[in-house]
Amino acid sequence: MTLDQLNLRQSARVVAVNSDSNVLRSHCAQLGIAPGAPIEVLHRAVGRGPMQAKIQGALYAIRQEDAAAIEVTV
Amino acid sequence: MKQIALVGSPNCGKTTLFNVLTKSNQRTGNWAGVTVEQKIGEFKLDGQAVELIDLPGVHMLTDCPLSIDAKITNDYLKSSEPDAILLVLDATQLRRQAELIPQIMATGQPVVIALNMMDALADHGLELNTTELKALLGDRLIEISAAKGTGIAALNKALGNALASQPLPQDDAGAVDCSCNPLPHEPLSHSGLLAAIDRATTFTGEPTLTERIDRWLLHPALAIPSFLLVMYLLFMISVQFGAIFIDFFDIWLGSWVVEGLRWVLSSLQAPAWLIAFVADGIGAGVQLIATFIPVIGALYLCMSWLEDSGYLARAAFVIDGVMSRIGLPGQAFIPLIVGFGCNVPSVMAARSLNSISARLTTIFIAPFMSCSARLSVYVFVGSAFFPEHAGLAIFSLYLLGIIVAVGSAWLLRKTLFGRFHEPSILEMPSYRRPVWRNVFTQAGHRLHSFMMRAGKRIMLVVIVLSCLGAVKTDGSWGAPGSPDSALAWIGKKLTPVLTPIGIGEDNWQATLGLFSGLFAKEVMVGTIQTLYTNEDESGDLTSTEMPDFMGDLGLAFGSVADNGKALFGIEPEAEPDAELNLIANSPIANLFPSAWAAFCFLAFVLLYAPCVATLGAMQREAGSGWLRFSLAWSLMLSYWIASNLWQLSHLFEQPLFASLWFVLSSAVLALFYSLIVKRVRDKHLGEIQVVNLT
Repeated sequence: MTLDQLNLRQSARVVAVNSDSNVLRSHCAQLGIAPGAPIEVLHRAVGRGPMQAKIQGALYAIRQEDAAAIEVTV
Repeated sequence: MKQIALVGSPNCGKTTLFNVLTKSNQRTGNWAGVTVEQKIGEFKLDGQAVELIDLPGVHMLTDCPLSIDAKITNDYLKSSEPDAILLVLDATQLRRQAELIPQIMATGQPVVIALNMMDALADHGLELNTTELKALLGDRLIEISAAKGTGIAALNKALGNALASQPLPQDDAGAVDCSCNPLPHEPLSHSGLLAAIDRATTFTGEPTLTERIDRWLLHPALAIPSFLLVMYLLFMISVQFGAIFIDFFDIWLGSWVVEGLRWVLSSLQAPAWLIAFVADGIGAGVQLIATFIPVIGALYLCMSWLEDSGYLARAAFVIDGVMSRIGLPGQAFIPLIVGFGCNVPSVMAARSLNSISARLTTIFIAPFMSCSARLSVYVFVGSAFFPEHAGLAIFSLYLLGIIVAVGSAWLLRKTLFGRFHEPSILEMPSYRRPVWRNVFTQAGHRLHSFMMRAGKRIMLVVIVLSCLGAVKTDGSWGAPGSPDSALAWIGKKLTPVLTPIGIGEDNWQATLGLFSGLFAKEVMVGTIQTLYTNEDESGDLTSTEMPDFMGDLGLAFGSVADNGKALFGIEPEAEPDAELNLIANSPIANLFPSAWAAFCFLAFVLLYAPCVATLGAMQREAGSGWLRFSLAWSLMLSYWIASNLWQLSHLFEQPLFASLWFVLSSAVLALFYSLIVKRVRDKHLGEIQVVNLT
């Protein structure tokens, strides 16, 4: 499953970042969104807004389309 | 002088430490070729002065940096050789930031590691046992709290030791050390370091303070109301509170600098052109720039406070969904809302955006926000022509500005930036109590940089326009703004071009008002009123008497008190009525064919071009090429909108001409836009660095 399908407050781990975009892949790598990293969705903004996710203790705002590229496992 | 480079992730408290170490001993500039601020400070180590250079935040050193900031730090560490590197790590985010330790050590320079935010561990539900890390990293690891000022003496001592040691040659970088520190037995490995950090960290399981605050501020039902409240306060405090002091600078410098210079020069029998150049050019330029200080200063203070507290990232989070539809990140909302107060800080605030396309788009559309100076023109013209519907007219103008901004952003995304998918993963820093020293230094730096850089360009334009306004067509020099000045001549020549938007053929005063609107929109009111009411007078306004320096200073202080009272509603302002009577009796009403024509004029005023201060800021932030593009677009678009609004009122009288006008003008607009975009894409886009990262 991908990050955008994860329920609120459900703990998971990152499996891979599947994207054609080099920028997104290296962005994720630099922010610690790497295979094995624990991840949890804390909030979702209303409408088409982003989600707030906690990854390795840090908080990030991630847009839906970027979250769809991050594969996670519960 | 020996140089120490300060390196760390964004939000690790690097700037706080920089301010603590160097106090007010700082100077700012720009990194070569980019509009990223460079800060260098000086402080004493063992009685010896050393230089501390603040590098932009990086998450890790890589060959493919993702932002201008990261690129600068990478390039600096590769090419320059500082005498020592001070690496700042956030103790609450240690595991994620640990990657920087081996990378920075590999540069071969002596390294001191400041483990910051030791006081915030408990708020993050963490306990950290640093014994093993100290054994691994040696004396170079110092625990500090920059916000509380603890551990600074130990840090200074370690820095002194590092500077006294000799760096190893680069090719020996594997065995990193310097003579003062005991050598770790095995070379430092990334995985070994991570394992040590994992062993040192205990999670207490408590939700962090930041998470507890976010439960309220990001709560689905509360997020938007609290966002609106914060934005309202930001706007009220910076714009309304700052505006109290505008008149102070206006009156004080108008008397002491503009009139004072004029008096000094005319008592010295200086020629008229010199008076026009010095008093009305340089003097008025200083006066104009200074009137921006209160609003911009107050705004920067509020912004720095919000930024330091951590809320700015939450505000961006809340509005991101809306902004993503026009291709902008959530953070772009703040420059735009600020634009309703003043376009200048709006353009300047765009530099907080990391992606260059977002930055350029924001700078492009920021001038379409109706600033408070435009409001004074709306009120002036609106209450003369449609007193019953002035509120509705003003509201429609604000709305028109927003629609044009959104439309332009959408157009840019479709035609220019569409192919750049920019992932928007934004770090949301922990909430912190803002450190006042940070807030004031940051705001001070930004204000100074505005005054020095945008100020120069504002000054230049003011001088040119003043001289044009003072020189007469026969070559003699007179009072500024007289009806036979070169500027008035240009105004008369240009008026026929503006008749399609509803300006009467004899209404050259309105055209000239547009010129003076280039100085500052609020000046338009004064210009138009002077031109209409004093048309027959000789216009000899130049007083050569000594201005009443002390009396005017008193007036200036009085204006602060009056404006302050007005803000809190103690004493409503009574003046506008007097102004309105003046317009009602003036020939202004005859020169616009109808009230609708006046509305078209206002629509043109809103869109045609921002004031010189904004133009100066745009050139500084985005370069001349982008400024020309943006200016050409707003001129064409405003003409298209205003003329079609005017033709709309003739749709029933001359349906053929009106619809033909619409079709032809739209075609011309589209043609010009596509030509300009093609040119921008071919010539200028390549020069923009971060776009090329994709």
